[in-house]
Amino acid sequence: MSGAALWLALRAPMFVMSGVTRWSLRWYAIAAALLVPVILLRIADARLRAAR
Amino acid sequence: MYLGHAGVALVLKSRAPRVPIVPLTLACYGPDWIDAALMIPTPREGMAPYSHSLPALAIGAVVAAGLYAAIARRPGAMVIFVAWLLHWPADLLTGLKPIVGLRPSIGLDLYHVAYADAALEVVVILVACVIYAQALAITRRQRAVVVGLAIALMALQCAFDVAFSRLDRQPWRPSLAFAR
Repeated sequence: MSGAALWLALRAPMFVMSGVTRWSLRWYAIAAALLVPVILLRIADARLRAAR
Repeated sequence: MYLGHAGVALVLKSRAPRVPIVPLTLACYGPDWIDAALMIPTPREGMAPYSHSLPALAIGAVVAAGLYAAIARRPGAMVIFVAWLLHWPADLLTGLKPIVGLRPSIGLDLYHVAYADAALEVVVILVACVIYAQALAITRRQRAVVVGLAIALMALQCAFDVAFSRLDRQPWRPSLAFAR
């Protein structure tokens, strides 16, 4: 996954610099929507292990 | 499917507890990440065959499993492979997904029947959380964590369905029911 992450990290700033357009806002919303479950499950998994 | 994929990740985690949850969840949403990446820097139509078609799915699953094996250097590549592949049948219930090219796209398209989508995904989340809790939550505190997670996922799913129904007002067009 690090290759994809690097690719995104390199391209995302260019995307941001292209200006906050209606389209870019929509993309940020999609990216946020995809990140939310990852963060939620990560937190739950960490808490589950901590609660042993 | 939106948070139903998180349910799939929880079920796989309960079957393979040694696989870290982050790569597992990323793999469950893999085709969606490809889709999002392909939309940079400009919106492009017709990208679904490169992310959600069966050949793209197979290639993505192999690459993701290979990357996991190379980076994590621990067992579980097969679980990552399966997680990526399970994205397609799950999406088949809620959207219209390509088989090879853009046409034909098949699926039940439940995204456009907000109540049905919410009901289906809530059931998937609930069943997944029960399986996850049975496998990994032994103490009362651990079960409380899983209950909290289930509530958060279900609330988020319902919010998503409300927002989607406001933003996308296209009619319901399940491709398995109508000739296109």
